[in-house]
Amino acid sequence: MLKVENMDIRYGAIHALKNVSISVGESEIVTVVGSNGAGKSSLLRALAGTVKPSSGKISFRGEKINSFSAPFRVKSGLTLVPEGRQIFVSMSVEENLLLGAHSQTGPEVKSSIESIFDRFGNLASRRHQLASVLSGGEQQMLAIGRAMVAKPKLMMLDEPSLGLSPILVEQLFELIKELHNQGISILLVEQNTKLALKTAQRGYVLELGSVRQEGTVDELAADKLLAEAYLGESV
Amino acid sequence: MLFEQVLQQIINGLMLGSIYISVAVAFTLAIGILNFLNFTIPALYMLAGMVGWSLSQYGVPFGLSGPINWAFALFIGIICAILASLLVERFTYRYFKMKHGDATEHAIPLVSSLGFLLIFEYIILIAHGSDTRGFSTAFSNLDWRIGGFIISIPQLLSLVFSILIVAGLSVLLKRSKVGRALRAIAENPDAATIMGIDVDRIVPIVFILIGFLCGISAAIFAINYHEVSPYMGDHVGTKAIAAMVIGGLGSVWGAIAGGLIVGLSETLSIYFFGASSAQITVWGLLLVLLVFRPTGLFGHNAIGKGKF
Repeated sequence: MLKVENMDIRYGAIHALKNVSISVGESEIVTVVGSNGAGKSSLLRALAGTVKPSSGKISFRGEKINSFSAPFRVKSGLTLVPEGRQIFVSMSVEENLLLGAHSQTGPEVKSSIESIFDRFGNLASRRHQLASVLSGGEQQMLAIGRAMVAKPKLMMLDEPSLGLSPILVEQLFELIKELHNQGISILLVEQNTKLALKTAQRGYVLELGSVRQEGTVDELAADKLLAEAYLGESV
Repeated sequence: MLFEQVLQQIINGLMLGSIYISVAVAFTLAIGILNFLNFTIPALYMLAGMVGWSLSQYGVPFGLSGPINWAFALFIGIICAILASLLVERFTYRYFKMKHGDATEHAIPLVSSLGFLLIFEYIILIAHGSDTRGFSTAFSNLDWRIGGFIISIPQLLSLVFSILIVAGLSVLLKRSKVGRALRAIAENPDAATIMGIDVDRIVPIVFILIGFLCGISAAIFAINYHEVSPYMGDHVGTKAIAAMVIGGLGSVWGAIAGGLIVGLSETLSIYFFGASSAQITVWGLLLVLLVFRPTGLFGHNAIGKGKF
């Protein structure tokens, strides 16, 4: 579904991503873990098309998409739920969803928005209220709902659990599994390594801009150094 | 008697305000959506008026046509303002932003738009000199007298027309898909891009609207005051900036209120204290208002948030 080969990203003198290669298969949940500044968000932004990699090849559904604009990537089925939600706080909940469906046309827009309201009752009861009045958890649901109405084939989530209470984090990961069951592939960037490894099938460990390790989640979880660094378990 | 004269000045002030409304809205669109104080706006206004006058007087340059009907000439003037606005977008906004990214967020577009203002003005000065030119239209001396008050019918229609255009614009921003995309860009351009909004295709719409509003306003001025000049943009530009700030940065309805307030304070100031006092009154009022209400009458705390 998605293949990144030998990607480099530079911001002036800073070499944010070095020769990174990752892939996400059809109906797969893949996670990318790593500490702050490892280059996780840069990777997702390059995939979404808002950051230009200095070298490397990005293929999506068998097609090279390096030259595709960010809006065209959304239209092709590649959506990003950005870090910090980035919902439009000056607009209503419904308007946020309509913006998520910007790349879509026709009568299905309305029905896909209604299906989001059916799925998230809290959002339905606040559909005409400003998104700024939503709680953190509701804002995250809105951010994911907004990505869902774009009808993605692959959804990328950047630190979705950030700032959420443990109960909401669990609900969030249930939702990610639900999306996966609907046939959407997931690329999950998470600082909650434990839950990410529990939810995904495969994973990559990014460190200082390079892939340090990759494998199935069982392989990664069995790695002692990784367990010590990211899972808080002593060896 | 004094009361009646003051009331007449109030009527005149409201009519004058109709000229400022559209230009103030043009400024407010640029700053509200793009965070860009577009100094070319007065030049776009002047271009529409001077091109309209030139075509109605001499026809298309190089002898390609004889003098053109004033209404059609003004229509072409408006088209020229829109095209010039798109030229400004291409160079001051898109090119520099693409080349230099966010480092140029404010300074380079602002300074280069100032450059365009002077270039456009001096091209017209070279072509037609600095004199104020009479522009006769079919709407000379159409006054409506009610109870001793004189209301110019073209001015009244202009006021209604300006408010209708701005109301239409407000509905467009609120209800349409393009309007929603523009508001999303105003609030968070990065998030808008992630939503699949093609910012490079939507932003020119703002510049088309800016050119259109300036052109319409210049046409209204020419029809009502029967004159144009290469400096007409400077006079309106400063008042429109004041109107935008008084109304509140980034608020379309605030620009209407600001335009009318500036028009009123200008005519009343001229009536009571003489012609030279107008700028002092308008800008003094603005400074006093900013002390008590820094966001203007209808503005919000942050540019780019909670507007329209």
